[in-house]
Amino acid sequence: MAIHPFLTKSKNKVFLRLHKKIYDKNLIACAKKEEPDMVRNVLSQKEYYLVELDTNDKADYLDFLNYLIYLKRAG
Amino acid sequence: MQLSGKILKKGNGWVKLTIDQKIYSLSTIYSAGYVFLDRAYIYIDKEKKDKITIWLFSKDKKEPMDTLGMQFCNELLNYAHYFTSLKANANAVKILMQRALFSAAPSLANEAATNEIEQLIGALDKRQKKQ
Repeated sequence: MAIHPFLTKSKNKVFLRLHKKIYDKNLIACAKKEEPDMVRNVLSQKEYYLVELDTNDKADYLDFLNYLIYLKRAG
Repeated sequence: MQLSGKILKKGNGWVKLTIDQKIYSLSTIYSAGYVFLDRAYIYIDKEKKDKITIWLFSKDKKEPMDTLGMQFCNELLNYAHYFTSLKANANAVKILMQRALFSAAPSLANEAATNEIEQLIGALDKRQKKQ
């Protein structure tokens, strides 16, 4: 999968790169709770959360980004 | 177009906006993003100190990226105005709500007045004790 601005690679794994001041801890926790099958792992790296999803499809990553905006507004 | 390059950069199927967080709060950005959920995939990132970048990946490949970006800017302005008005009118709305409640149940007005008098007496007592 091509690397996009919202993705990063670490140890041969692809992660969503989410700034902590934009996508806060509660939001990530909520997404993980609501979609336990989708969110495989969450790492903290400096100013970013690195979220590993159970997919290799770019469309799923994009859908997840929109889901976070939806959760942020709904919550 | 002067706007391009300064705050708006575009590519094949995407447009990137750079905005100042001092002007548009995060709530404004989330709200504008929510409106665009059907039209685009949205990724928000933080650049420098107060700069926020918003990436819009269009769901419709035929849609001109300039239009998408500028309409998002309009939505930002719309919500910025909404939140500013909400803040400015908060006191007036509170008074109107109180009046509506008190009209519906006059006993609430008496209760509120009694509570306020008790609080004032309490505050005066405390002050007298200190003196």
